[in-house]
This record gives sequence, structure tokens and C-alpha cells, in this order.
Amino acid sequence: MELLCIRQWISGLLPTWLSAWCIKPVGGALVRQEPEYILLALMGSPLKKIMLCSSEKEIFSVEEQVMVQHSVIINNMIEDGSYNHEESKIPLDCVDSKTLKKVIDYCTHHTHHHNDNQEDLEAWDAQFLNVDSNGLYDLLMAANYLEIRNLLDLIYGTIKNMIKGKKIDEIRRIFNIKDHGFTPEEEEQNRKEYPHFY
Amino acid sequence: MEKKMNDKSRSIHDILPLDLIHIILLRVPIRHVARLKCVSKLWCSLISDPDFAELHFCHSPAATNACFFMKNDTMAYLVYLDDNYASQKVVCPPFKKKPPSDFEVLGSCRGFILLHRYPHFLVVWNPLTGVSKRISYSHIVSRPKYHSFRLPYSTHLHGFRYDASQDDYLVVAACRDYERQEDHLECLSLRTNSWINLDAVLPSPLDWFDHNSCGLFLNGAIHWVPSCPKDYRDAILIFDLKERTFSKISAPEQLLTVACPFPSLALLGDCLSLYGHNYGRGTTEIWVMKEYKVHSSWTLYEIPCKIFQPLCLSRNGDIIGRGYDKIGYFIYNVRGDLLKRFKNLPCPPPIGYCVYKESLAVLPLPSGIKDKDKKKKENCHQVHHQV
Repeated sequence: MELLCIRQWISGLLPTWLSAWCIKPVGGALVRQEPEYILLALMGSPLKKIMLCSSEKEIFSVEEQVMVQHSVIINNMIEDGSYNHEESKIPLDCVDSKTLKKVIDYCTHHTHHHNDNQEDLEAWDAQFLNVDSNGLYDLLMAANYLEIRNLLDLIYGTIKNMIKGKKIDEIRRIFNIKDHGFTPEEEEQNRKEYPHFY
Repeated sequence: MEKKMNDKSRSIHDILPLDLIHIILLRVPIRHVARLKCVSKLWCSLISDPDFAELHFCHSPAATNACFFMKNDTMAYLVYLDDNYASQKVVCPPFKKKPPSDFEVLGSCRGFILLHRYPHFLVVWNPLTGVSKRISYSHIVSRPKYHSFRLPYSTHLHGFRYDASQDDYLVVAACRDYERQEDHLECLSLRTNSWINLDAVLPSPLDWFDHNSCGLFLNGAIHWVPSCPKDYRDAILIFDLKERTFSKISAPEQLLTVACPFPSLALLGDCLSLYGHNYGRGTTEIWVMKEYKVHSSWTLYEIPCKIFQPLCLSRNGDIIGRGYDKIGYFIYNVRGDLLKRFKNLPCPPPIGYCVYKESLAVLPLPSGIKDKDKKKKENCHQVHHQV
């Protein structure tokens, strides 16, 4: 997918033989369409990558640019110099591998496709969030920890839609709330006072 | 953090920390939040927290404006209006078993509606939570001798506003004592449950105002317009609640002299507006004061509808209002083009409605009295006034 991106962007600008030459693994896709990035690709200079380490000690390599754009926490780490590119990896003990991979997918897609039209992006987001409740909560906590604003908004919006307009019993089913914490008297009182909620 | 397993028996409470559940609830639109108190004890305690209401009101996307009016003593309507949709909800007013007659809608503030009940009661009510409080102002006005005798115009003025610095709701009531031919002005603080007499600051004589007109609150002051202002230069009466002084500002000259001798006030966005019906041209003129207290900033919008009462602005900045010659709710843009029409919705009478925005706000508690946040009717509080 990354190679296709290079081809797309460069082919419109350079003669065919040059774009053909550029299509080789040069350390990642172009992040933006600005000239300096095209030059970098031509010169074969790799784009910076950072290492993220999940709670299961699995290492994920991802472009610095992608994570810096989306995650406030990672952006701060890189800016204040606490991350050393040659040696360090960023430990994310709160995030397991499955969730981390999904978060990286989200950030990468949104960085590379930020020029797509709104409908396509929304369709991709909907597909992305087609997970079970536990997966959704894991994503929420990861996005909260890494402070990824747009992913947070997306997940909160989805959960809000799961709640809106639903009856109480349905909400309890959706969120698996078996023990609601009310005494039998309180529960009965609520049902009597607000029968239309249930 | 413990390793998460796809365990079907774990609920949202087991997995998500409290602060994230709190944020989820804050993001649910206000209309759907109140019922969530019944989902679980945890959600109930989060939502019932007074800070929650404050946070929700301040930070959530703006609640939709609704038009509130009473159909009869046991039924009231909330008609929600927005750029693309309109919907209605029926609510039951908080009156005791035998609904008394003669209620009027005065105005609303932060999710509370102010009602007037003959002969000398005010009711503050939040239709979303059901909390209500009845206040008597009998000490201000003397009882009419004959219950059937009512003057067509009385100088009953009301104002209702929220004072953020004190977390208090203030109700202002001004009326004329016909026996002694005196005007009285008093201000009630719902937090301290006491009235303050402000007779000394009342301008004298007080103009005639439409029966039970409720002022518009803006920029720390309550605004009223007399039923028939004589001079455009002091057409709008303002009461600054902090300074406790009255002043007057001018209305656009054209509104009063050319077209409409009986203007009304409306709040469109954050701007004070005056509107009247130009029967000659068959239009409604809406003058909006773009800059507060700057006479030259009065801007005219002409709506090609004979009797149109603007209610509020939509999210896109278009004017939503109620039509009378053509029944229904209409959205016009500022150029007077009709954008949308909502039919088949209950419509309010010409007076006795207000624009309402929902909130879960609770009434400030007078010290020592417990305020229940359920659908209970509160007894009439003892009101003591300072002479």
C-alpha cells in the first residue's frame, strides 16, 4: 500500500522513468505531498521510525510522523527529547498488542488518507470500529492513554449512539451490566415511576 | 493493569475506569441523560452530582432550543427545533392533584421554566428532572378585592436569571398596587429564599407593560419593552442586576414610527432583537442589535410573513420562528428566504410561550432544606422579605 502511494503522488509530477526508479522500499511511504518529501524519496533517505512496545512485549515499528500527528503523549515525548531514536522504544504497558496494532492502523490510515473525502473516511472509521464491546473499551483506554483526540471523539460518538434512545434494559444488555447496584425496592420504585424508560 | 480477556461476563464497570464512564455520560445529549440514572447505581451517582449538570451544560454541544408552551393545566409541549429536524415532547406540569386554573408561561433560564399562577405565585420548574418550587409574592401585591376583576394591562414585570458567581437563581417581580397606586419591585434569591425590596430604584412612573411580561436576560441585565412605547429613544427598559439600577436604551426609530407600534423582544443568538408586524407591507420586521447598546448597530431583517414570531437562531445562524397566518414553524435565512417549514407540530398561542434549553441543573439549596432530584412536587416555601 505504501508503494502505491509513492507511485500515485510522484507519477503525476515526474517523467515515467523517474517514478519507476523511485518505486522501491525506501523506508516508508511519503507522508505528505510536499516537494521535500518527494526529494527525500528520490534520494533514498528513510523516514524516521519509532518503536512502540506493547504490554506483551511485542515491538511495533511505525513512522514517527504518523504517531506524532495523532498522539499528544508521543508528540511530547519526542519533543522534549526523552526518546532516543537509535536505542529507545516507547513502552506502552497499558496497551496490548492487538489494540496497539489497531491504534497504529488508525493513525497511519488517517495520516495517509487525510485528503480523502469525508464519506470515505467515515466509512473506513465505521468499519474500523466494527469490533465487540471489549475491543471497543480497549481502544478507548488506549486512545485515552495516548491522548489521540480524533480517535477518542470517534469512540465516544459510537458509544453515545449505542446509548441514545435505548430502553434501560437494553442498555444494561449492551454494556453487560448484570448487577445494577439498586436494592430491589429502589429498582421497583424506578420502574413504577418511569415505566416508559424500561 | 490486569490482562484483559474476552470474558463475556465482565461489564463496562469492570473494564472502564470511572473517569472514562464519566466522560461517556457527559457526551450523551442532555435529553437522553436523565433516564440513564436508572441504569445503575454508579451512573445514578455520577449524573446526580451537581458538578455533572454544570459540566454538561457548559461543555456539551449546545442543547437544541425548544419552544415551550402549556396546552392546558395538565399538559405542556416542548417542540424542539433545529436546522434539519423538529420533534415534540409532552410534559406534565408540576401541579398538585387538583390542577388550579390560570397558569401562564413567563420565561426560562438554564433549563428552568418560570410560570405564573394566579393570584400571586411563581413556579420554577425543570421539565427534564421534574424539580419544581413554588414561590409566593403576596407580600408585594395586594389581593384584588374581586377575583373576577382583572385589568387588561397590569404592570406585572418579571425577570428570571442565573447568577454564576453565587450559583443562584434570581427572580425579579415588579407590580402595581392598585389600591395605593404604588409600584413595587422585589428580587428573590432562590438560594437564600429571601426577597430584597428594590422600590427605591424603580423608575417612576412605570410604563404599561403587557400582562405578565417576562424580561429577556442578556449581559447581566433584564430587558423589557412596554406594550406601546412612546418614544423610540427610551423604548427598552433595562434593569442591571449587579448595579441594581434601571436605564433605557433606544430602539430603531423606523420600527416604531413607520410600521409597528407594538414591538416585542426576542433573543437571537447573543443579540437583543425587537420585532414587529408591518401590516402595510405584510412582513415582519426583525431588528437585531448586533452590538449591545450601540444604536447604530440595529440591523433590519425583513421576513415575508405577515405574523411571524422569531424564537431563536438555528445552528447555522438562520431564524427559526412561529408563523400565525401560515401555521407552523419556519426557518428563514437573514435575507428572508424560506429554508424550511415544519408542519403538523403543536403550535403555541401568541403569548404564553418561551424558548427553552434543557439542562440537568438543580435549584440551589437554601441552607438546611434538602432538595430532592426526583419527580416530586415541593411544598410552598416560607418566604420572608426584608422591609
